[in-house]
Amino acid sequence: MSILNEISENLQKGKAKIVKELVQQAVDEGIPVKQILDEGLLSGMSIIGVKFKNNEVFVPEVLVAARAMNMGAQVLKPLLVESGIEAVGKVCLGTVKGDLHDIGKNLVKMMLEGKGLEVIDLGTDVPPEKFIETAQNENCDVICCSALLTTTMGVMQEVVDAAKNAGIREKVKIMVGGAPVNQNFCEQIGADYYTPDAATCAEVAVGLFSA
Amino acid sequence: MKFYLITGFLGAGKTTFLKNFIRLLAPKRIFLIINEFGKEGVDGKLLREMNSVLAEINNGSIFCSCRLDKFEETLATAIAQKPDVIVTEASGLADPTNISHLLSKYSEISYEGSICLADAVQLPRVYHTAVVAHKQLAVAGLVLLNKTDIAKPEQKEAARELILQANPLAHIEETEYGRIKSDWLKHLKPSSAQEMASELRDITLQKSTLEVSFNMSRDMMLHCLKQLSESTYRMKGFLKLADGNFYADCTGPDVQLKPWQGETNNRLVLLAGRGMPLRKAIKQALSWYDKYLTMIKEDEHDG
Amino acid sequence: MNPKELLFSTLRHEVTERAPWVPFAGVHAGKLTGVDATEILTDEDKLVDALMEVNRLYKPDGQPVVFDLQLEAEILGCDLVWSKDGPPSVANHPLADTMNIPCRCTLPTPDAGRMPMVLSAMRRMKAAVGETTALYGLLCGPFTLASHLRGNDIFMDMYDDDEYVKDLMSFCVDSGKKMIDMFVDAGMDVIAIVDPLVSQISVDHFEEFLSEPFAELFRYIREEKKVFSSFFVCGNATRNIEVMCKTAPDSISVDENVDIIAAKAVCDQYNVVIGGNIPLTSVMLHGTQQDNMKFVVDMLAKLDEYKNFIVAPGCDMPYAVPVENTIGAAQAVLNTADSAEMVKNYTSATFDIEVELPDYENLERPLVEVFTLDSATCAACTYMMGAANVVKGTFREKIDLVEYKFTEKENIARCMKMGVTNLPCIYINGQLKFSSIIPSTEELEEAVNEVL
Repeated sequence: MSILNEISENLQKGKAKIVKELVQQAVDEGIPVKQILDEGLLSGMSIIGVKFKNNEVFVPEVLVAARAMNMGAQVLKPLLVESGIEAVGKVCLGTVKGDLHDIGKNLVKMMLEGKGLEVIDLGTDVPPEKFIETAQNENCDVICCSALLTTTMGVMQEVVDAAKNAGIREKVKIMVGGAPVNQNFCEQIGADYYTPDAATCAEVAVGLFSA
Repeated sequence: MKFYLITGFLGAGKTTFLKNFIRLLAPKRIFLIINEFGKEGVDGKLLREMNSVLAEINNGSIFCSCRLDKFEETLATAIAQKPDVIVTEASGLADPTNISHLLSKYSEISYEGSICLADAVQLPRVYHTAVVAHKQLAVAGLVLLNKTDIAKPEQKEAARELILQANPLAHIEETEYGRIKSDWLKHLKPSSAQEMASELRDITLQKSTLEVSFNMSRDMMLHCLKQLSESTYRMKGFLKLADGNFYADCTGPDVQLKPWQGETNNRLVLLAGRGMPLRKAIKQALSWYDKYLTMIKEDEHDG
Repeated sequence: MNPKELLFSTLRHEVTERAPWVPFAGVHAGKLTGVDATEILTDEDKLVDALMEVNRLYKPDGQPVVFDLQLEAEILGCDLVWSKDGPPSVANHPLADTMNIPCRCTLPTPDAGRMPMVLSAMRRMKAAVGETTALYGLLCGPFTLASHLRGNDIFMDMYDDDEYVKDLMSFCVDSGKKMIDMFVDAGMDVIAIVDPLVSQISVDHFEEFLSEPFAELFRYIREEKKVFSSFFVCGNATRNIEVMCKTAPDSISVDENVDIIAAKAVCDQYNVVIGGNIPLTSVMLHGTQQDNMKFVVDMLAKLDEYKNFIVAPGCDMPYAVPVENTIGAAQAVLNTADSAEMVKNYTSATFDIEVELPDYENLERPLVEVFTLDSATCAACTYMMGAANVVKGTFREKIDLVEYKFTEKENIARCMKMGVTNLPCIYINGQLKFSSIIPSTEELEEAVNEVL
């Protein structure tokens, strides 16, 4: 098995220490940094994403895989900066105001990072202004809003309106998700995309940048 | 009969204060109810001279917020002996918020209020890690800001601020070595904050007991205590070791292992709270000193 | 058979004449009496009033007393953030930075946190409706409780420190037993262990960490407390249904993420009752009354017989569910055949029936029109009609009163023509005055006086 495959396999099993060692080894062997990232780390995370979508793996598996990915990415980070490789795009993400649930939001974050996107995590209970402010100051291309409660999903409408009022609605894509949210709701509030799970969210988001 | 409740977080100087307080109350007959971490500090001779009695509440009621039954047993014994005064020293980790409710069942008792000892230097640290420290202050009628001799002015000021934040009505007196003056007692009154709406727990408080082998040497024990001290508020034990009998008495990083003449039971009791990785530290100690230490699982099904 | 006995009969796995109905009106109960979610969960009198209204309008065979998975977490030191239209959320996790197993001495007791008010409300409900309605005592499942205490790290711990997770689960099981003791003592007939997070882990993890704790809790409920049990889960728990059955609860309750008919097939193998799964958002919250009736009618039509099946919402109903939607669902469970007919008539050719509406502008005297599903069978409709009859008794020949039952095709057409969507309701002189919530005699009299 090639070392990149090995990285991917161990990442899927959540073996963080081994992944870190293997990534270092791959660097020492002279494999291009971008290739280690794409074919080792990101491809492993992508497989986890698909399995999660298909209900073959669950929250704990995704969390440990993401941890392993981050351990490997730490080794690569300085080298990526050195060689001038930049993130594919920038996303800001948060659970909307009034809602403290973050499991789903965290999964989305990991999947987005697993696609090579830079993610600014605003945490939970995020007011609409905070999304907009961050998108403006950090130059984000996408805003991702999460909600678990039927009573807080309405805040997503406020995020869309705030983006309009700030004059950045044309510049940013707004994506929504969470248990009570659906396509209808997304259209009704004028958001751009609804995705039913974290992996699909990452696929759609990365698609926005490659287009 | 009068009832005084003495509180204060671990290491605030309750035991030293008690000696002074007993002398202050003399010649009244005193019944002293003390937690298991306080007994050694109280001199039996002093008690006899004062014609007073001491009872210890052990194990299980260390967080006496939830195990008041054992306290009530002892209290009944005390009342039966008809002393002039009952003084109860709560454990440093005790939640005293429901004590006045409990005492109201006994018509013969007049609850005078709670005196809380606060360490002028350490208060900010314990205040932010332990919910009980906050509660002890909240129900106190009189707060003694202790150890002011070693505290800087800004430390005293910070401590005062915290005390008033927990209890805007508290009367504060500065002192050192747990000294108390009789006219301070006139400020003592049962606090109304005692009637809290509901009872909530602090689940970060931890208590564990280790059984220590006779074959362990003093040096080894000392190393072990130092390792554990970083993850504990308090450790105590009367230990028969390979090279003699010792009294382990540790408060935070201050580790003491002194020669001991009295009885031993080779049990080391450890107390810890929020942010202290006691479970991990014990696991490590058990693996490093596997021939000498065993864990006693008493908490698991107690309650 | 009395409603409670009917539910018990189902829980004993017997065939019944109709399916039992257990509306999970937690905070939603407050909507019936106009109090918010926080009040429902903290004020005993307001809670009991609202639950009595649930009992009156929704005709439950079984009903929960308090639906709040944060009750234990609050006692154990989690800070809560309160909401007016939902249960509180846990804001912090005491064990997040202190990886210890709490002392057993901190386990919930009758005087801890909100327990005094919860237990008292249970006793009052038992005295008021306990003869005819089975009461559910709901506790936070051990896995969800462990996550409240430890935070999201509990998922990582499953890989990093399995012993810790097992010890913490064991503490949470002991907490559950304390809750069970108190709930059974307060008269609860069914103990439901509600563990939404079960759907977030694999079958392997369930078996490693959850099988034993749940099996022990259900054993405790069955053998030592001798009451019925239920296992509530939320989310897509499809893969875990079988391992849940193996922990031997009397019943399982699932939400719309699970195909309930497929899940029933699994449950039947283990002779476990399954309950569910009216969709909370799309049908109950955002759907119409007819949508709710239709969902229940269609679901029941898929069953061969009424055995091992309970009709219930997917989980705790959102606060703002329109009252008429639940009334519609109730009607569909309690009078399935009639409701099936109504749904059929509603969705098919009723448009060709010509109905003439009164000339509301030129009436001789005030006209009170009561639209009902069927005042003979639907409880809310009975009360609505009853209120109108009382007022008619007062005003006598000064007003006209008429009832339109939705069971008649012609009346369905009339509803459509007038734009009536929610039943029961009262129109006065062609204007909608009261919808779903029954007015007091004074309120109705006042409304009549306004047009007299």
